[in-house]
Amino acid sequence: MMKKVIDRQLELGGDKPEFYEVFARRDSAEPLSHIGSVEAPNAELAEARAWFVYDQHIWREMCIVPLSAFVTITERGSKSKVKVV
Amino acid sequence: MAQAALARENTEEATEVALQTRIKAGATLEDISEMTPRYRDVLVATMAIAADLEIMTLPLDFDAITFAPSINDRIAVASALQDEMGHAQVMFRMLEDFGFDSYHQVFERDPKNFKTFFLLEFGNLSPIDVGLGHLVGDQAGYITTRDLEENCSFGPYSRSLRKVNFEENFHVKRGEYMIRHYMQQGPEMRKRVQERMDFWFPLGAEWFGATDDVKSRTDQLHYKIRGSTNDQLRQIWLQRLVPFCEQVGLKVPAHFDSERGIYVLDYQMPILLNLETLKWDFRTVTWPEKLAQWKKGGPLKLPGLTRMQVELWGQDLW
Amino acid sequence: MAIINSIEDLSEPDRALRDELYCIADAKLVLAGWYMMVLQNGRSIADFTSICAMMQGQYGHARALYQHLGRFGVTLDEVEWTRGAKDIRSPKLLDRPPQSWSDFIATIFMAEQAVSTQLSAYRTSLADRTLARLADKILKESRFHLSYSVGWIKALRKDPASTVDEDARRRLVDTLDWWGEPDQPDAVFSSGYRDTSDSDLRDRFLSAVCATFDVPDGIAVPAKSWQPSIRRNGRPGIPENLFEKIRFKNRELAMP
Ligand SMILES: [Fe+2]
Ligand SMILES: [Fe+2]
Repeated sequence: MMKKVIDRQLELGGDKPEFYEVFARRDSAEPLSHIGSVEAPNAELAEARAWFVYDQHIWREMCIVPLSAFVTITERGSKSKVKVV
Repeated sequence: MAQAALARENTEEATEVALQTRIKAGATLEDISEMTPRYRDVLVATMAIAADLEIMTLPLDFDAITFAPSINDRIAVASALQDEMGHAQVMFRMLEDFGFDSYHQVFERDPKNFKTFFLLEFGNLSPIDVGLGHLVGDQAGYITTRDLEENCSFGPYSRSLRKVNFEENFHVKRGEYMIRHYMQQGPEMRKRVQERMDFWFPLGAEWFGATDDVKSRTDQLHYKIRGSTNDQLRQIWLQRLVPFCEQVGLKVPAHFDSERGIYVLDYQMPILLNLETLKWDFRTVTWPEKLAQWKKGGPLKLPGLTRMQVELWGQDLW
Repeated sequence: MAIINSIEDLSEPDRALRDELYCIADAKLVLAGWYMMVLQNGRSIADFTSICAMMQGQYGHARALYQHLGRFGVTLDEVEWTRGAKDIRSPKLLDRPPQSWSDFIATIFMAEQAVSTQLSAYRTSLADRTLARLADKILKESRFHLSYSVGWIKALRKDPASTVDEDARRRLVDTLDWWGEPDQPDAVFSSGYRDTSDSDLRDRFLSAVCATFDVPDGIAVPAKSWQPSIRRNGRPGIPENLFEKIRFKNRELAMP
């Protein structure tokens, strides 16, 4: 039995995990909404994880944005740039 | 010096009062900066337990996937587990904003320190347990998280539970479907289901914790982290489960008390499970005795969580 | 199309199609078993979710293909219950258990890529429109399985000591066993059920792999005993202990 050792640089993309925010809409009438967040060291893995974690609906449109790309306006100075949902 | 400390205490007291007044008036908190340390502690403790409960379903459902009787059944259990892991992901993600490191929490923390519930700490023996787990356990979980979604004064947590509850409801429905089916498969099968229900039912009843006469008006209610007391939630669970069981012909130790207009257990909580025979002893014990049993945990807890923290390859797989 | 109850009643091309679809479906069945067996080795909560999802995806595809095989007399009873280890027609690639996370990632990359490549040749089938639609649906759904493995390969490669390229090279040889020798008789292609020959599909697979891994020149497998009905060399079937792990249990408790 080998204990899992998580290499943070490799698997998380740094000391702290790298988050991607997930946006989706179900149909053309619905606004594109922030539905959650996934953590991944790169965009491919983030894409797959977002698709698998947020599969509660059949989405018409889905996209992800790195959390680091966000510019906060009302939440300036708050601990979380974007609320989880 | 003393004056400064006193002043600080006064401001803390004032913010505490202000927060409680806001919450009582129905305000929703959106950010950590709006919280007092006490509010924050109560909220974080609630979310941390919820996260641990979700992650514990990995060892619990794994066996159920492997002993599934068909492609369809295997897909159904894997789908439920996928939901649970999605819930865990959302819960741990939220805790990250409160300074938790989810990798540490999941993969490095001593399994002894996970706060799981007794109901999740016993291995599933057959697909009958999968059905009963959904019917009894997911039902209890669903009632708890529905209450949090409806009442929690921390907005992000309440919102995150929409997806959770949407999916938990399916798990309960799946359990009802399975048990209804098994109960139509003749006396032999009905007996098998009944035997396992005898094991599951008291586990579900104690999911909601100590009775209100022992533990009421907790901080969770005070801060409107949740809306109902343990006994109120247990009552909802009984209202749903007992009529279903009567309908399909399962006997459970609870009945409707027409005088009081509520469902009541036929025994007085707390009771102990004999861990050797896995049979319940219906003689009432003290709460400290019950707490000691919970603390000790069921047989799946430590091995199950340890498996999640190690990797097995090559011949250890097949 | 009439339901046929005996394999002997099938025409030569239909029998070849039946065999090939069985091989593809079994590849998905065993691949789903891989996801199941490796699930608890996941390295993040999102991996647990993703592996559960990919397991369901593969089982779902396998089920749809078995159902399609119903027209050739295949029953779910046969698929799930009456077969033993020696009757499972999955690629040799999936016999040997993964030796590490990196080997697991390399293997699922190869397996997902190989199976999707083969199915891509059914999308235009005029002879069987239902199959064409099914193949198209499966391919679309498998897209995220590939992003998952590619994302992990990228992450693992950041470590100079990573073995993922070696693992992939070893697994590539086993994957190619699925296509046997180039330019052998190919009844499914010549009858028009598939729009691409096995040889061309093998090349299509290799060029897809090239986008992620270096493929050495002249990589080949000795195809002395390759049989089209099982798409592999040597004896038919999968290891007994693998079969024991992935077979279904508790039959009397199956839900309708
Ligand atoms: Fe859950
Ligand atoms: Fe659930």
